[in-house]
Amino acid sequence: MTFSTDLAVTVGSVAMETPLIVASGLWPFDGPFWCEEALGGIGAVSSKGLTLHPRPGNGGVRVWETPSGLLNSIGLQNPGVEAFAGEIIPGLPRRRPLIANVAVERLDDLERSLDLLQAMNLPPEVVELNVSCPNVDGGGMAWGLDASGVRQVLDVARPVWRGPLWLKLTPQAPRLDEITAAAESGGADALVVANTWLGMAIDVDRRSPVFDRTFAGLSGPAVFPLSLRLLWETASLTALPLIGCGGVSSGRDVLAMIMAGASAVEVGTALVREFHAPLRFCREISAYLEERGLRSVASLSGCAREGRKERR
Amino acid sequence: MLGRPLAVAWQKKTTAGLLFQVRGRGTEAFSSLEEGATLEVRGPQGRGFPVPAGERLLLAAGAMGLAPLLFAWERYGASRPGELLLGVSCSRWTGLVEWLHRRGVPCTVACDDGSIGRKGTVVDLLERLIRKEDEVWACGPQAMMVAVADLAPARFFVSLEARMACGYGGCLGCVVPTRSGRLRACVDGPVFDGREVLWNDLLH
Repeated sequence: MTFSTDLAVTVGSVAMETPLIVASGLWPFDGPFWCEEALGGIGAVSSKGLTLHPRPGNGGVRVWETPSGLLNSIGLQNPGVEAFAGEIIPGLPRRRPLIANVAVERLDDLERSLDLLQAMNLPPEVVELNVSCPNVDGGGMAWGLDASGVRQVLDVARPVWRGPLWLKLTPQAPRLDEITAAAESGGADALVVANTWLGMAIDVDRRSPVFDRTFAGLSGPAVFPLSLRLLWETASLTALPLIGCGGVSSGRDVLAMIMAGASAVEVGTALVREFHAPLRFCREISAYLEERGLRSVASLSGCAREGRKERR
Repeated sequence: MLGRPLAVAWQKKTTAGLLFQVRGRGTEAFSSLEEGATLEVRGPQGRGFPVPAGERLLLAAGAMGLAPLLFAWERYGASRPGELLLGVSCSRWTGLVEWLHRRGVPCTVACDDGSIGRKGTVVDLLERLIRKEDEVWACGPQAMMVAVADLAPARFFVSLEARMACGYGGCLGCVVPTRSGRLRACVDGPVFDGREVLWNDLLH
């Protein structure tokens, strides 16, 4: 994977050859996907959302197309952390930094999951905490919706997991300022901005919501401006490294997120439309840099903020 | 946004044929394509039917479920004993049936309201025909597939349809409940051993 310009970035201590990370829930565990040919343009891979125990996921309709977007309600179908750490990952080549996306439901499950990941011969380079799942112990509200939930999660995770710990925010959280403060004080190393946006669909032929769980996560180009705005706001609130996530569909979208303050950018739904999207994005970014005589993409991080008075 | 999963219905040299019914935005867009238009195609994806081993090969198609079974018929129909059975709802399907006849495909048709072929369902046709040593391949609406499963053919394969997003096995949007867990229609299917599918869970 070589480009004529320097696309390498770092997120804290994590170095990547390109700024593009495969977002959680898009990359199969099948061997061929972990070979160089499939990984073109990709800097790192985030795993399927993991729970301590295997999960069958949701019944009923799981995906639904919307104008320029995709609603999904997969329900964390995954083989469980034990199989992931013990069999699946050790059986795959490690050609990119691996980000283990851990879905937080119960705190004791979280602790056990991180123990298992930490104990691997070659642990993941990063743990990314998904705090958009319901707090099963405490009323079912998502952990990431308020500062106290975020802090509780980090207070369990931080002492156990010694590597880089990323927090994937939920865009449904009303108080971004409090969330970022809790993430900083709780010891998160970076923030992923953000998870999917809650939406829904009604099948008017059946006169009923499409999804068994009524609401579902919206992703794709439809959410890009929303995610970019949230990223911009987050960058105003914290000095933590940020990873943009939400609807990028071109190299220019990736650049926009980097210019808004992201160190790296996650790509999800774009892969659904075009499997080799990361490679195209990298070529587009590389051409952009070349045309302007710029040497590295990392030098553009946050450049759109320069000279702007922050208005909140 | 998304691609549309379609079965190949026939193949002639370098041309692949598709059969579809206009149901939503995707198929609407297909139907308004003009000659010479360019499409982005990914595939073939997933696993197809195995080489048939039963005494006769009975193909049971429900309406548009004909597509993969027509391909199967053109592949195996001449070389081994078997039947192609098609069930439709009403006379709106006359065009498809006539097209099959023009194509020279021998096909027994059942129609819910009796306006084409015999009155009844494709399952009725199959039930009258099926013997213990037969192999059945089916594709159609879920209720029809469940009824075929109830006939308990010794060798039984189904081609299933699901709403699909990525089409490469990543998103788990199109899973089918089976005895081996929830498997992906796009890469583990779309053809499954009908005895492995948990039909009640599929209908939920």
